[in-house]
Amino acid sequence: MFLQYDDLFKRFHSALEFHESISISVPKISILLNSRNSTDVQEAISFFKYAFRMEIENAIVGIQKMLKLIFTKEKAVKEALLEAFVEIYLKDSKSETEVDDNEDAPGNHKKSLAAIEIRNLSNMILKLNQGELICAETLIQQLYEAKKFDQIHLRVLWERYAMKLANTSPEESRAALIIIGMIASAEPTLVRNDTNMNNIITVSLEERKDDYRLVADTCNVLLKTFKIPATESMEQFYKLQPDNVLFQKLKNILTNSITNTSNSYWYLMASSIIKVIYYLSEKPDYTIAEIIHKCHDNITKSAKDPENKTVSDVSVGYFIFLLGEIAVCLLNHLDLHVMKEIKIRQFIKEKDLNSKKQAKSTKGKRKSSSKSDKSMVSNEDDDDGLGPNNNEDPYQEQISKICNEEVLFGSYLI
Amino acid sequence: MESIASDYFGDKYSLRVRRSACLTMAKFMTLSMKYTRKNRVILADVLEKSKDCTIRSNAIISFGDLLLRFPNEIEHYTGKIFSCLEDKDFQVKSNSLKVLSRLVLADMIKPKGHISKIAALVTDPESSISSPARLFFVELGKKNNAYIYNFLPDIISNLSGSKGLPENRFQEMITFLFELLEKSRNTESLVTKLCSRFNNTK
Repeated sequence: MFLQYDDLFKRFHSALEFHESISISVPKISILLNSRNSTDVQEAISFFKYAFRMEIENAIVGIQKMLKLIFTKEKAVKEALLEAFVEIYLKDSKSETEVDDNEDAPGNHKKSLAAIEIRNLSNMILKLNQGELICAETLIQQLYEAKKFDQIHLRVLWERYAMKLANTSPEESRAALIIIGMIASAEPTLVRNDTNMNNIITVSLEERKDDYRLVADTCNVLLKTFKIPATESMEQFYKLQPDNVLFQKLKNILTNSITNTSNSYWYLMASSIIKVIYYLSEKPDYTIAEIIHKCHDNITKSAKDPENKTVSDVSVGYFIFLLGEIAVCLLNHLDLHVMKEIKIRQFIKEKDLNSKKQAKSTKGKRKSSSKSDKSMVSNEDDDDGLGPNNNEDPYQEQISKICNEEVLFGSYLI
Repeated sequence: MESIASDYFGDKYSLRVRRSACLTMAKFMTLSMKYTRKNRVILADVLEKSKDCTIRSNAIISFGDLLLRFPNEIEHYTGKIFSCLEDKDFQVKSNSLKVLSRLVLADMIKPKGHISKIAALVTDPESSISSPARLFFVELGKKNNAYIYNFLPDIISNLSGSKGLPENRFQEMITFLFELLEKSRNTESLVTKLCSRFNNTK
């Protein structure tokens, strides 16, 4: 009998040694990921895929390094990478065996499968650093476009975010939000639709508004709904009304938090809130003006409070930072967004004019009268100051003038 | 805002407020050319005189961005940015190297004589400074090998001798740079230039 145990013990021992030696080889194989030879890279990807599924200790490090390969130009490598991630995260065979134990209805079966997959994905996302998050975003965008995410996955994600499923920690909820954001960059309508938007506002901005990091992540997700439209397609900017409840909530969070100096994520949250207001509101200036005045009032109030003398200098620092962020966003807003809007409007006007000209000439009028029509049209253009040659300059000049002079030296706000 | 930023020694205002103020002042400068003209002197002084290294590294990065936005306004302060390559603090050196490599490789500024300061960093004991410096020269050589030929005489004059690098570092740096040279045609003109410099030596 002891011989049996001896044998078993030896087997476990060699299994452990094998496991350890594979772990040691992981850093060396990660170097192969940077090779110029694409077969090397593909073999390395395949290795990490198996290593991770067999739960080798630091295989996760290899997976994280693989993420940056998403930007490679080699088609074979990209395909191998996408396939590896689908196999690891979206078709986990271990999850299938876990679920078989629960004799549930088919709907629940699918849902539990999706839940386990999302849980694995969230665990990975939480360990990534800033650069790797950008790679992960591109990866998830491509997976979404390849239709690897089902509706069930999305439902599970929303439920995890709202912490409706049992045993979801705040960190997991944040990971779910980040993944929703990544999918939204491929499909902005996911967040633009009203129910989801209200959901986000209720969960992040009401129930958990004291978690500044979550608010910052929420704002980043909202920013994904924004895209600069192409001139030719004459799309409209996606903008919300300035009195939308979203902006009210964001304003309140920002103004109330300026005197709370204990949370280290304030800078992150403040810059993302300002960005959201500038990107998504139709008239950001009014909201921003209110924010500035209210913050200023809150700081002076807290400075007069005899207990809080030491708190105020950090708040003043926050306030100054806020002014800087507003300046940069304003520049972005005027230079890029407003100019783009003007260009689109001019494009639409020109298109209308051209179609009118075409309609007039196809009506078969005599040449002289059509010439006079054209000269009438061009006179109108000159009167409007919008002739095709110089349509951009007066607006560009006006915008530069606003940037250079009126914002900082004008009397109306600061 | 300006008064807070010009408090270089931290007498009147606390560190946090000064850091925010310098950064915000730089952001205001990206917005408005008029503001830039008025206050660029303050930013340049901050770069030289401020005691806090975070403020100085932020100022360098802001200068880099301002050079892209308003090149004509900031041009004659480029000398000050190059002198930050010799700063004592590691973070400041590293940031100025990154900013300057980006600007020079994008042809936004011409380093002229200051290139010797970047060359000196090629043999810096810290690998996270010497490897970007080497990468910079490799990229510069890829872009146009003639640049290295043109800069070599300046580098040699500035860094040799008693005021320059210690002997072993100088040799290592020169070996590295010579390895980057490609064609033999320019070598003759290089030799001529170096010989003409001998006349100026003691």
